[in-house]
Amino acid sequence: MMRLILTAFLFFFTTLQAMYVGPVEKYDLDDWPNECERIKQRLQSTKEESAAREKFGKQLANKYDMFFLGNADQYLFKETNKVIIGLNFISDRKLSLEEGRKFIKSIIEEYWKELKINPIYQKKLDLMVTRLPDAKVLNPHKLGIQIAFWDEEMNRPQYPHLACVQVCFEQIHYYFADPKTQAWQEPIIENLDQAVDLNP
Amino acid sequence: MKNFYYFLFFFNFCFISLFSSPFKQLENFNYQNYTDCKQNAIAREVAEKYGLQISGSGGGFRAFVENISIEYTSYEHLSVDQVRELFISANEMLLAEFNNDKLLRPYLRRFPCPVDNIRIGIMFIDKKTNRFVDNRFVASVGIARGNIYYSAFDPLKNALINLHREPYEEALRIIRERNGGEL
Repeated sequence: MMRLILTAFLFFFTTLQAMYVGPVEKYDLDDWPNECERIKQRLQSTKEESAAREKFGKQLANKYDMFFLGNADQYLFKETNKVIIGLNFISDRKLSLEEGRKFIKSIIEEYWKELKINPIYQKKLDLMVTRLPDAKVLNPHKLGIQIAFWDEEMNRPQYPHLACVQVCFEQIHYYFADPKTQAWQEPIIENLDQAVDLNP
Repeated sequence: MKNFYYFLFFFNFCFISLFSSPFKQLENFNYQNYTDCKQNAIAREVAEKYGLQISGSGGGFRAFVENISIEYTSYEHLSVDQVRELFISANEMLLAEFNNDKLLRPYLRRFPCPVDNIRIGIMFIDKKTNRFVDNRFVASVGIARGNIYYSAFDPLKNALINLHREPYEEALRIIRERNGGEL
């Protein structure tokens, strides 16, 4: 009896989940030569996109005197069920909140311009196998940037200097470091559309 | 002429110090290999210090250092109190090593590295029977979502049963109180 109830519950739960997030895209095994070709294209596009993003990240780092740590994805921003095309930097600048706002604004504008101009990013999204709604639409929600500030001794700058700025899910998070532990304190959050006009 | 070379050397030194990035050392730095080597070295150090055997290690450091996990085997028969001391000491040693490594700091997903990101597990095996120690002692200890779980081996069910559970902070407080503020 218990097994029956459990099976019924699982069936109901999976059906409900499928209804909510949509069906999973499946590999078409009947048409396997074309499916193989699509997988190859997907891998190739991921490689190209990753290389292009890295190249742009390094350019941006040189321009703003930062160090490019690498490409970032949604896992850096603690969200696993969203898509992020992100960049991860570190910098030795000591910026106040106001200075940080100006600094991040120009970086967001340049990065968003790159995402819109270069078709490689949209191509990668188009070829993704995903069940997430809107995962294939290149919108500001997918824009991700993290700039962590460290001093020469690899310690976080203390208040009133920013410890980190994160751009993710159409929000900008400004973090200050805890004076004792150096852990991030609760962030000051701004909406991305209030800070930057991404559709001029 | 000699003075000129001294001057040139001094000038170069000043120039490099002034204009080089403090992150110069991170260029071509393979943090994944580094973390892997460091993890193995610390795992060995902890094993030697507390008389344990390493039975496995792993972790997640694909795009940044997300978590580190090490599994040990011990042939001791210990109570909850004794295991708590061993577990907390080993965990704190690992945490300190990772948090104090300045090269690795920018690559840690969260700094200071929280307890949840370090996963140590110890299994206590009886040397004679080559099975878990009997249920008067702790057979296994591990951490999940900030709680330490102590389990005993139930020979009738042939499974591990929950013996005791406590938050990590609570265990840390008990050890500190007992040792006069030190670990």
